[in-house]
Amino acid sequence: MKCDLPRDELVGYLYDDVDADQKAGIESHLNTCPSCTQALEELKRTGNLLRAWADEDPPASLVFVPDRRTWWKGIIPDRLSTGNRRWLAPGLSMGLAAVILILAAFSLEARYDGRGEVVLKLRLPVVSESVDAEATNETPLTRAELIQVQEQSLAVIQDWIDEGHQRQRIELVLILDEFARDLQSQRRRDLLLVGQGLLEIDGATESRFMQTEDLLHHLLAVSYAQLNPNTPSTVE
Amino acid sequence: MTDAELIRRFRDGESHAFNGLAGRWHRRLYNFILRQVGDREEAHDLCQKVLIKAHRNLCRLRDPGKFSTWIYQIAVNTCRDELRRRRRHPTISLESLEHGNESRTDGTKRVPARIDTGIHQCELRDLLNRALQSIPHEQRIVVVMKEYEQLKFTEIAAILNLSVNTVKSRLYNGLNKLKKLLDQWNVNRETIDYEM
Repeated sequence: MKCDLPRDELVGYLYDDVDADQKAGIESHLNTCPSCTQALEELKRTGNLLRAWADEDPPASLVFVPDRRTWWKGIIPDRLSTGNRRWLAPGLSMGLAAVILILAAFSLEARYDGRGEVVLKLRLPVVSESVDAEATNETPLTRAELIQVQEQSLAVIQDWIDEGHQRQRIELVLILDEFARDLQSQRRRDLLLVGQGLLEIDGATESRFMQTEDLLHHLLAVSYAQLNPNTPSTVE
Repeated sequence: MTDAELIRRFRDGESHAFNGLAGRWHRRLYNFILRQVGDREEAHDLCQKVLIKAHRNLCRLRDPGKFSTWIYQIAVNTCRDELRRRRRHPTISLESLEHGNESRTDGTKRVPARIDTGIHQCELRDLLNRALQSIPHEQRIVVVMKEYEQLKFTEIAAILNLSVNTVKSRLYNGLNKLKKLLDQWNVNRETIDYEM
């Protein structure tokens, strides 16, 4: 195309996407410009050729099966479960942390009792006038008193540690004692079994000797009888 | 029932309403993608991907009246990603192997010999596919949207986020390149009409 008609206008004219004024202008230009007329014809022909490729059927149809909604999806709105999902985890974590802090403020105590059960205790703060009065009348501790309290605390802690050590030592001695007793009784049982075994071996050896002796006597008698067929056997 | 009504029902909890949308758009999307990527198996996979993306994100669509623009945008982006991936990791599709490795998915194509006799419908389809795959992707999208999807220039411009003049210019260039290729292969109305 060697004229000034913009290509997008020609394309617009081809697909009827120009207003009436533009259309009239392009048509009058086409009457005088063979190259634009040819370009338009070629565009039209190429479009027709392309449309010879008809739509095809897809190889398989698709069916979307709804997933089973879990119970919490009914509670949490859709925009939380889809759009703002990235805020869900931090939000839940912060909520959980807030609950823990509130429970801590109410002195929640969780203790494992050693029998497979967890004991929970919740102590609500008791605010009474007498306590308040006491608190207001309290005088601050002096340094010496503070040190004394600390020493007392340390002494108590030391006592607990000593008690713990003592208890551990006693438990260790008891365990060792029991172990020694077990070992002794096992040793006795083993010695008994060894003695029984030796007796059995002794008895078996003696009986085998007896059998061998009988056999030798018999062989002797047979050989004597063969050597002296006329004399009666003396060895029986 | 319109697309917007189906979308509203889907958002209200009728999850099977999406099947109505998928049934309406499946064939159209499949053909749109097929003409972009040129491979049937891949077009089927990508079409599934597009519908799954639409299913997941339908709640985010602000204006249900713009569903067609939105789903075409998903399809265009999915195809673009796939074509980029294909350029990075060239492969040969089973379909191309079955057809004697004439069209390769790494972008290089064997130019068919000049056709002097009539051509069958499936051969014509193959030739047009090959011609479409030979032009740049940005021109191909516009050609497919205008010639096959019959979209308006304003709709194409909205989907591709371009000006209408750019769309027209790309269409002109794309059609010109296709014309030259088809002339080179002697594919014209006469050779088609020989068998049709």
